[in-house]
Amino acid sequence: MPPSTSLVPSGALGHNLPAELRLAQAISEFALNLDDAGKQRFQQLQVQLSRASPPSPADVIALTEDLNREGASRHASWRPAAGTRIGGFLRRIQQFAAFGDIFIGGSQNLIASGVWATVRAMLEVTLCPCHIYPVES
Amino acid sequence: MRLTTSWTITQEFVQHFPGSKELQTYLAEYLIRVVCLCRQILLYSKRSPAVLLATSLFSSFEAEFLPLQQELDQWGLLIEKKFASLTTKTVLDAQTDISKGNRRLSRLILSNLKHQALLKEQALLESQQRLLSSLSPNQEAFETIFRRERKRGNCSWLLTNPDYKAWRSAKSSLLFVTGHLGSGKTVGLANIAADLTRKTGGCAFFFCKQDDEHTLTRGNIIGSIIHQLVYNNLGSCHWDVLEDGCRLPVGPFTVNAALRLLPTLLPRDRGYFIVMDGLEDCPPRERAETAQTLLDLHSTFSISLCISKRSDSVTFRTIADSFANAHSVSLNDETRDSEMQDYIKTEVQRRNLLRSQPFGADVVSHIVEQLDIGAQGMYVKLHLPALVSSY
Repeated sequence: MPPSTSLVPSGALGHNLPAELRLAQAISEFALNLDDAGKQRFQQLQVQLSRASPPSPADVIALTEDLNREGASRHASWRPAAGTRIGGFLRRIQQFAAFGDIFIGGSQNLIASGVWATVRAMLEVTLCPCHIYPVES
Repeated sequence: MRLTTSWTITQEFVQHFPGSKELQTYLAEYLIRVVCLCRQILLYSKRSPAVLLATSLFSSFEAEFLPLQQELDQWGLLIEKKFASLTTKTVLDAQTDISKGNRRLSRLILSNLKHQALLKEQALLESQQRLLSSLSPNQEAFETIFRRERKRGNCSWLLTNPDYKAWRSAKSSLLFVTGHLGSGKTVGLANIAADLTRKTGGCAFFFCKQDDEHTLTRGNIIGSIIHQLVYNNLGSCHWDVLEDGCRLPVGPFTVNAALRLLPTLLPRDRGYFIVMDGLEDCPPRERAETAQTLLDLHSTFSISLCISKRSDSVTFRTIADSFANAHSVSLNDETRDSEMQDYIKTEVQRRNLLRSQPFGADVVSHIVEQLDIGAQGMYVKLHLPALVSSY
């Protein structure tokens, strides 16, 4: 049976919640599936992003370059296309992160520190399972 | 990765319809699917090799993620359609002169409901977004050119070149990347732009393409460069000059207006990098005006400029004369040639391994030799798939 793509369990209170709260709930559910090191990294990203300016296009390029660098060091057949290819998708998320919180009216940088951190943490954890990314203090 | 390519609306709708509850919900729903997708990928990656093998036998990766991708597409389409309908409605309202009243009403409601600080922040964000989108309406297309070139390959020899390193560490300096037609200047500059972004936190780049007239005008080139300079330093710009949007003209924001605003907007106490490729492909007048504007920026800010060139035209001599500190890297370099040979060898060996009946070492060596001769030092003349099929 394929995994469910629904956000909240059927019949739960979630269906009556506003979309922005269900978004926060989805982010929490994502965090629950991370291991301890992943959770720590995710929290770090959230704190960093809530303090800093929203991500810029340069952050997207830096992230894809990090992926290219890590990919090349792990796989001999890694092509720069692999990391750079998701640049378009990341750019769209970055755009949402840049203005989405004001638009949605969230008070906790939900998109900047939540969605962007989620995407970034997912890429780091799935592509670098040993958490070779330095943990910044 | 086909995600988010099925619809085209970007941040513009926020500027036009900040009070649309439906759009807010659609955006949130879309992002919920993005987070769900991340979660699903995470769970997929945590499966044991045995489960992954079993999954791959009975279902494909595409099939597993298809439902979520379809949901993403649907929400994207909904956003697009809602945006189109709101735009039409606004046009119709404007014709009957109702639009103004509605806007005032919605702003009144907003001001009563939301905190003043939030409104101020929203106004500033609107000004920022209006400035950025007016400066470079085609910015996404220009960034796509960069990504396309970056995907073509790595230039590790160029990034370790002493002249390049010296240029990167010096302030307000010039780097010429020279090479004949098809020698890989564009891919080299895409690598430089990526390297600078990673190591220095951001650079402004532009890639002119002979077959795309939008990339050959001074307005688009300079607009895109200013757009990036501002966007990469959004947090440190002096936005008070835009307070209440009074300094922004009502219509489209011209590049000349942006150039006048830039000295007060952008901090002057830091260095900026600009990477400019293919300026020679622009018509002479556009080329000369673009070069002059770059030099004007150089006189105001601490700008390090990296530029590719084939010839030694008057434009480049003018630029070279304006920089006290100039470096040059030639792509007709022995190190670069050996990197190209290594690249051919690696690619042929990789593709050979994928064959059901791999060629012997002598055949591979012969193929590499012939490809090297045929390429004549130009990546564009290298046609690997035609010689060694990767099936």
